[in-house]
Amino acid sequence: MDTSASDPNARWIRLVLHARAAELSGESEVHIQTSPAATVRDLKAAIGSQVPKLAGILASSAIATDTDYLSDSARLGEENSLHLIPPVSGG
Amino acid sequence: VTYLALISEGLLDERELVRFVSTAASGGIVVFSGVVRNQHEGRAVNSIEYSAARPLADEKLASICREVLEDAAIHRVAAAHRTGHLQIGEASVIVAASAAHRDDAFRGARRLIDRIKEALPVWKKEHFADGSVEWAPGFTIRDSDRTAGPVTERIS
Repeated sequence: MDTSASDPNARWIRLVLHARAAELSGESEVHIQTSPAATVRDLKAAIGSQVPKLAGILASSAIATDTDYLSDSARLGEENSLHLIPPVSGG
Repeated sequence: VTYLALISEGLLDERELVRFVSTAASGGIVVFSGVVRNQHEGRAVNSIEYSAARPLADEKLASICREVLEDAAIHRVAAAHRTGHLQIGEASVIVAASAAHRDDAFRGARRLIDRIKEALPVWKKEHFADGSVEWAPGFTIRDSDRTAGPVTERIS
């Protein structure tokens, strides 16, 4: 994947993967290309097409910053690093 | 500060949590420990590995404590979750709540563990005696635990 992207509007998000998501993709993080005005829903669609191995886990997963879970309608704001949070099983 | 929230790689110390929630006005203290057991749905378990998304998990555990403290009858709360490879009998989670009376203390402790189960970004991987290793199914983060506002406009 070309992270220097010729599209001036392209925006790259570093997505940290956890638990089953890391295992499915074989990576601890991936970089996802999205648009500046992207919502969480747009980001999830981009993840599904750019990292097909994660497509099956997206519906049950949340996107989070270092402090909050984000709803699908939330805009990504200025965050460049986010987490993919598969179903949680603490306790 | 009236809560203690801790994600730890080391052994959890129940006494530390009890000490923290103890106040002169607290007539009741409830402590719950979640402990690694030797079987899951009939299959023998050797150990469990816990991982956490940090610092998100630290922030979420603190916010769960603050949320439980919105109940004015509860004096103090403490919650600790372990990460790493745990053996049978080791505590993976301990919560404690204090209140003037037992009903409120029980409710506080119950609320803490229930919220940890559904909202803390921690994952359990079970190592079975037959050699297989599996992620526990878990809970999808609820919509009510997701924020809709622009991230950059939020003040923490």
